[in-house]
Amino acid sequence: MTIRPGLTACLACLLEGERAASGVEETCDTVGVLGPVVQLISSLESAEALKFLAGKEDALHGRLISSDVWSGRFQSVEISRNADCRACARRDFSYLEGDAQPHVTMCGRDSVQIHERFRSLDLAASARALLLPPNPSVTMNSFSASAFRRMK
Amino acid sequence: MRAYRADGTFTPWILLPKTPLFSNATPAKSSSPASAKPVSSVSLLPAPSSSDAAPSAQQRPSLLARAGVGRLRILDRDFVEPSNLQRQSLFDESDARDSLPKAVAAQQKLRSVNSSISIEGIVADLTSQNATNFFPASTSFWTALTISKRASSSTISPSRTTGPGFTPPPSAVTALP
Repeated sequence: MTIRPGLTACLACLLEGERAASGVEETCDTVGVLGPVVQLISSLESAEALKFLAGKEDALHGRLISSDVWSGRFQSVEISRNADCRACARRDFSYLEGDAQPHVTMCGRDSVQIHERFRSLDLAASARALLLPPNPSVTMNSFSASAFRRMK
Repeated sequence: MRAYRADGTFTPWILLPKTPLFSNATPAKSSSPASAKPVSSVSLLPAPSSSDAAPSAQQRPSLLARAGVGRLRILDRDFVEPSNLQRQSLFDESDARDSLPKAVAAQQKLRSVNSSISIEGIVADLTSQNATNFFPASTSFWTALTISKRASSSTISPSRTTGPGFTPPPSAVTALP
């Protein structure tokens, strides 16, 4: 679905108004992502981007396309704007006015992202600290330091 | 599309300008410096707060780089891990072994795909606090794929753009606090 603000339906037109999801939907963590669907969707998106960049906006398909590559089903529906949409009609951009991000657990792995915006991070010092037993090995590059512990 | 080099010669391996879609995409006849610049810019953003909310974000830049989009800006906070390789075909085992940030790995890969375009990998999360650092106020946000396109007026114009949509930071790869 390609969104052009003020011209097409936006994500809030589509998703809001119903009860908010209760967090029980399937995620990449619980059901995974079938690799080929990523290629399919990125191809559709890239084609839309090229039309836009080429100035051929009348060629944008203007539809919400969904696909289940397992069953081979495709669906393409036209989405109309919600005249009373919070975001694109009333221009209440609540997500842009949000608070600082909470620390979040990253999808698909046992890690937590911590947003540190006030102190600089000394990766070399972190790597030295990680080298202490019982961590057998530490790897480091310009962007990260990693330590691996053997689990009993 | 950056189909023409600064000296006006055609870049033959960029296929798009030869297609009917681009039949009116003739190069600017004027010799103004602006006409030599890339005319299009795209910023690729996975949705914030979930590294897999838009897994296709890791694949799109390849197609756009191959198409010759003149300027790509890639934002991603995540690092390549072996479990990503099953679906994120831009990355390989060495990226995962080195735990490279996805934005950095993508920039390296895309450089080798198309060396004539500007590719900028930024290791950062897109949040409501920093969004304006990456996009001018006039930018239009799209759902997962965000296109930054500076039109001559404040509204989105169907005409082709004539300049880059953002000012690149001093270094090609920028790690933000």
